[in-house]
Amino acid sequence: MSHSIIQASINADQAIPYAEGSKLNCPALSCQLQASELTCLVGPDRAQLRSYLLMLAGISKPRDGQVEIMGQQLSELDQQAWQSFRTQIGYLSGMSPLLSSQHALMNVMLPILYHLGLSFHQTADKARSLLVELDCHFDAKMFPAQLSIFQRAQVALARALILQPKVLVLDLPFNDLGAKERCEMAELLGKYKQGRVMCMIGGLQYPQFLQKHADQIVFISGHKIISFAGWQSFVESDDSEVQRLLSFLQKV
Amino acid sequence: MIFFDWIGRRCIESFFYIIDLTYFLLSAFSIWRPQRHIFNRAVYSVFLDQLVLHGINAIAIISFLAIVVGISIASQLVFIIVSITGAKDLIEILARLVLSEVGPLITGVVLVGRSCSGIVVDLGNARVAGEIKPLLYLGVNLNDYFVLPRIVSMVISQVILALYFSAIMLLFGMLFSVLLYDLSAQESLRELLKLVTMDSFFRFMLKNILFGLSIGTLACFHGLAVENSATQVTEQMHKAVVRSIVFLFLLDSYFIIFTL
Repeated sequence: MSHSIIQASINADQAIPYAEGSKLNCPALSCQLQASELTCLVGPDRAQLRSYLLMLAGISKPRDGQVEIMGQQLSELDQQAWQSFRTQIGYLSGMSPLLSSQHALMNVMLPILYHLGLSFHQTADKARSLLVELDCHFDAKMFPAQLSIFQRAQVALARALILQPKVLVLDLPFNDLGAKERCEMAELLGKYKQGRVMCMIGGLQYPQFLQKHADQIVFISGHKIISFAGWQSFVESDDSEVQRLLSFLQKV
Repeated sequence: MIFFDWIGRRCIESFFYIIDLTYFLLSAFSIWRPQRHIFNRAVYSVFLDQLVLHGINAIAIISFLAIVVGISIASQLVFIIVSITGAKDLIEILARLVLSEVGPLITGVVLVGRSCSGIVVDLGNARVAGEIKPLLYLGVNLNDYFVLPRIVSMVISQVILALYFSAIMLLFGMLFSVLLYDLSAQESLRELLKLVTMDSFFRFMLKNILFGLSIGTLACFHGLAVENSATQVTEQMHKAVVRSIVFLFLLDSYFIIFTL
């Protein structure tokens, strides 16, 4: 099956994820995530949000309901199909670090070497040019432990983007970053939104990013899911739980 | 009664442990399908790294041990054999002892100390730091990228280092006996080469392949058994080292029983 003729999109229909680590109940989610749009999942419980994110990213199958990613039913994929399917979905985690035993360049090269089998020389050229595109002005042969948090985040973003995925999943992309670095990271993410389905959690760590780029905000709590068309309608919501979350955010 | 309870429980635990280990090994090797290259480029680079780490970097310590053990064992052995049988069976006994026992075992123990613990710490720390999960999410197979290159490099390292160790040890042991007992070096070497038959070489290789396989599998199994705490890394490392040594001696006993 050729992925190039299929429009990048994610459809969830009454989908309920396996909630690992969350005490909250998981209501059924129905939503559509389109190309060039950013959808942010927000709510009081991070573990619960992550379980929805992993389901929408095709990493875990839904406990109930259907999730369709780029025309493929998630529940129909076998192990091998799932593995090759992953090349279409970039995953960036602000929490999980790079492979510490490999230098930054090799971390970026790894998905191409593993999935596409290009030569080392070609792959290194590709990785270097992507690092330049992402404003990485440091020696690419440095190991993750020698890099700053922001540099590591840049390398992790390069690793997620190296296979030119149609879906980009962001798991706390602003985690641990300072104010200036959040701004720089937001700029980079905004640059790569075009043509891709973007889905994230942890957007409330930097609301300015959601204000500028979010096309859909999905509020998820223990017993309800509310979809908002952007930041403005989210902050203007009169739902008590949304208001509680926003007031807590203002206090922080 | 409590003692028998304890024995029974340990037996059941050991049985399930061996089943888990076998399943782990089989699932790691099941990634090799006919239509797939044995190593892709990313895996190949890890394999080479591991080969350098466990094989090439261990040459210095293996050489030193081979010389020291060669001389010390030879001096004891020569003294005992000469006093019992005279010097006539000296080379044969030395060759048998070194090729079938001392060479593979000492190499195995060095690899357990150097590499088995290293793999457990490496994989365990990667697991605790959460380095593995994002790679799985990018479609990288855990067995393919992390487990298989380590096991295969361990097998190759064990085979080559044991060969090297045995050769150096035999050479020094023989030279030592030649110096002490006025034997002809040329004759001793000829006698030694006669003793190396295809059968003994095959047995030697098989033994080392099994040693390498068990050390590599145990190291990866315990490294990936670490969940989320740094204390589990040392705990699993102890388990891997002790169990690898137990497995080495069990395999060695198996060979002694079936090859004597």
